[in-house]
Amino acid sequence: MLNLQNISLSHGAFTLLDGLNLSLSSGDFMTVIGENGCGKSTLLRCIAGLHASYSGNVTFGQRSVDAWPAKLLAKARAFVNQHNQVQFAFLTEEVLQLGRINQHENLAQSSALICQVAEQLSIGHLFGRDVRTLSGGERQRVFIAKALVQLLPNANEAKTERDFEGKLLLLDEPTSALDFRFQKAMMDVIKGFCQQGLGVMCVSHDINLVLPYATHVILLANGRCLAQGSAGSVITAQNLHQCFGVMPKLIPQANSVPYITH
Amino acid sequence: MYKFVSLVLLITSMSVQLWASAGDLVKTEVTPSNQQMRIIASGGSITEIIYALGKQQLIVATDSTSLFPAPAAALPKLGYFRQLSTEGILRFQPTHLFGAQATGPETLSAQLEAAGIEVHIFNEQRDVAGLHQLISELGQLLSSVDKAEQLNASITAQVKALKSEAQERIKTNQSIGNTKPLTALFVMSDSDRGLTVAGGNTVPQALFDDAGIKNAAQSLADYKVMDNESILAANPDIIFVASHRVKDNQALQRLCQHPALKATHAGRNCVISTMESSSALGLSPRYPQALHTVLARTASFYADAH
Amino acid sequence: MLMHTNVSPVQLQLTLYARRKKHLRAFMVALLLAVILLLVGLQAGSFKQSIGILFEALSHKLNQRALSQEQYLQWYVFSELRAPRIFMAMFVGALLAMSGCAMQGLVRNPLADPGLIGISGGAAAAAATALALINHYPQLAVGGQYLIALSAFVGALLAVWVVLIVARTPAGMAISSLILAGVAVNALAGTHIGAISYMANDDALRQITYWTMGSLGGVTWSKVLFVGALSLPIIGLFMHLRQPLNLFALGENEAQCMGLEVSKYKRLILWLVAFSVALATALCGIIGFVGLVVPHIARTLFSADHKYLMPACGALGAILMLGADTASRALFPPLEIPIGIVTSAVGAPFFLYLLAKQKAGGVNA
Repeated sequence: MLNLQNISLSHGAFTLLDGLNLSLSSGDFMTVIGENGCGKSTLLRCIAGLHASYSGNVTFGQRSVDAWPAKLLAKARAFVNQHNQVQFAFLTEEVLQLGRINQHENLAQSSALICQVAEQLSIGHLFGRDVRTLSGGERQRVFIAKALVQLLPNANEAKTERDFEGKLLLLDEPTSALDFRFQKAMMDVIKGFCQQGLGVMCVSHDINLVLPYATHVILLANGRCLAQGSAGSVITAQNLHQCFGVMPKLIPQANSVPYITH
Repeated sequence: MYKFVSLVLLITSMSVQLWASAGDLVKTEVTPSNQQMRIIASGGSITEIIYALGKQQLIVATDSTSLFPAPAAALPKLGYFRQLSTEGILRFQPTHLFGAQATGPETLSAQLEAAGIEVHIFNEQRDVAGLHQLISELGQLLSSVDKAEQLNASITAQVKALKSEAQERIKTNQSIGNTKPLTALFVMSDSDRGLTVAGGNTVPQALFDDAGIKNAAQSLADYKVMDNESILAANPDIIFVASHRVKDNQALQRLCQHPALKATHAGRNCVISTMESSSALGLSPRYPQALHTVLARTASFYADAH
Repeated sequence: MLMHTNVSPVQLQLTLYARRKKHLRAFMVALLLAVILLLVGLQAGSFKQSIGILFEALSHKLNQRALSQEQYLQWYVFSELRAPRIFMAMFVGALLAMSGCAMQGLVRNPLADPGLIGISGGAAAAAATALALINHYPQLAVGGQYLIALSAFVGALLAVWVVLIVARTPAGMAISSLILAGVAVNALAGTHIGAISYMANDDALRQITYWTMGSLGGVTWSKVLFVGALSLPIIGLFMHLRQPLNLFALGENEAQCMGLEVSKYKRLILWLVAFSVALATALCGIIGFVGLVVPHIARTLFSADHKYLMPACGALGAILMLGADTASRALFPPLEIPIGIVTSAVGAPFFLYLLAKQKAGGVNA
């Protein structure tokens, strides 16, 4: 579904990404791990089509991501920034409504879809509130919900088990502002969507939280891919030491994904 | 309520009517009325001349610069003459507007003429010839040609006498070897950043010309800010100040201390004198009096002929 | 997931319908207010209108009978002086307010004003040049007002063009450099006006001063028809920009990811704002603060959602200008206060109030 070939990007003399190759299929949950400034967010922005000046190919679906008509792409790919600022007094449900902006459906249909997602992310009680007054975590949930609403198929189409087949969700630190309870709950919900065909690419520093959900792990260092594969094969003390420069302790767990600690 | 409903009806019908007769509004024949002239006078000179011609009873309103003679100040005021309101003028149901050159805004004339008002904007040449012309034209329009001729004749006679007096004393001075012409500066307004002075093509320039005095600012056109160094270079012997800028005698003393004037002949001896603004800044039938003042204030610079 | 949520789709749908209905009702009230103000405006002014005489004049005109001087004058003031400027006020008010709304949405800053990108500065500099030239070469005075309007229009667009060129980067137009370039162009325009004022004679100087204060005094039906014909497509385009502006409110990246061609729409919005403000300024001079203040009022009365905000700005802009024009004519008869002064006199203190409130609350409407 998503294919990256030899992606490089430099800003002046500074190399941000250096010859990256990776691919992602429907239903995959890919986690990108690496130290600060190693190019994780830049990678997401390239895939989202926000960086025009990279070299190499990003293929999404059957074509290059830059060849997609903007509106069509918006129905198949959503991007959640780490920080979301709204300048004007938009209400929660108005922001969610914007997720359906490219769809031709009536208010009843879009309301039903929005309520469905809002219930899953438990943000229904935020309806009627100015998004600027929400806490960081609440706002993060609202924007993840907006991204999911954006990817939901048109209400006029028949609902299937694989609603999110061929669709891609890019997440930049989706749990950074969430509390202990919602961190896990959020990952559960997203994993649920993966089972409906959604491909997820998630940048996170909370390694222990995301690893159990990841089908693929990519370790980035200085814009290069250090290792990629299943969590079990990528997360070794050796790799982590190379990536972060500190030697972690790995505590083996029942699900073959080790728990990492200092 | 009746008013309200009728207005709604009026507007609907008006829009229909506008499309039907766009453009021919102006051409609609107006039944002539034989009423008296009702004049809007715009510009101090215009108002003063109308008064001098004895036709002041025809004036219904004036602009804010029409303050002389004293009764004129009490007439209804329409605001500054460059920015009059058409509706504000029409309120007085005038038949004529007589305006000084800069009367405006520029759409004013067309709008007033379309409302059936005769508009006359006078080209003012800022000297005695211009004054004569203005008086004659107004005399004709106000059907008081005789009075205008009398006024003009009197002004001509007075100015002639004053000019020959001026020539006389210059000759006397030259006979005792003093050939350098007297230099004067007319200050319209002052601030510590510079003085606004009367340059060429102004009434003070005409007064100085007729008095045989050199205008220190004659290279400038109109009223302009003159920088301190140029004033020092021109080194005027006497300063005239518009009276509306001077509230008391101390103001004159302060002006002598102005950095531009302090080192000039005039500043060192504090030879400074006020001129009545309404007769010295614009064309006025009191031109001879203004000229007389200029001559009187400069008398001390000339050797006594007697 | 964990927490129960109690909003049902039906409830949400009803809420949204109710909100739409509420905004529609408020919009209707605004339109009604505009009509009332229009009627008040037609009545108010230095010249005393008499409905009876106006009706007489109308019936005489319809029956092709000659009018008396009194009837003619009443009819003239009503149909040729007041009616055109009232319609002009409404068009110009709507254009300026909608431009302000689009500008604030685009730069995501509720304190933005269309003047930010140099439009009014450019217009004023060009108009001042034209005024000084006309003053110096009297032979130009014949088509004077058209020359001034055309110069102002061209000057405004030229200033925007320079700003856009300067703000262009390989990655698209950066809003921050756009604003900085606007500041520089405004400063340049100010310098130009200063130089012209210094060299110009007293006449030209006064004219420049009065031009920058704005006025609806010289409005004729032909100007109204001209502006009206151009306004309708412009207003249509502004309405078309409502959803894109909503996306811009979430941030440019977000808007791009949600399917908006950001750079294309940015250019479209900027040129549309430039064109409408240039049009208004060319014909009526600089009318400040309508573009800044009206979107704020509309956001408080309606919603931040541009679906409702944009038409609300149009209606409230028209209302504010109508009110300001009526006040400028009726407050001190027979004087007429330049309308730019009336709008700024209301707008500037309100702006200060908003700033103070923003500082206190951290969040503003």
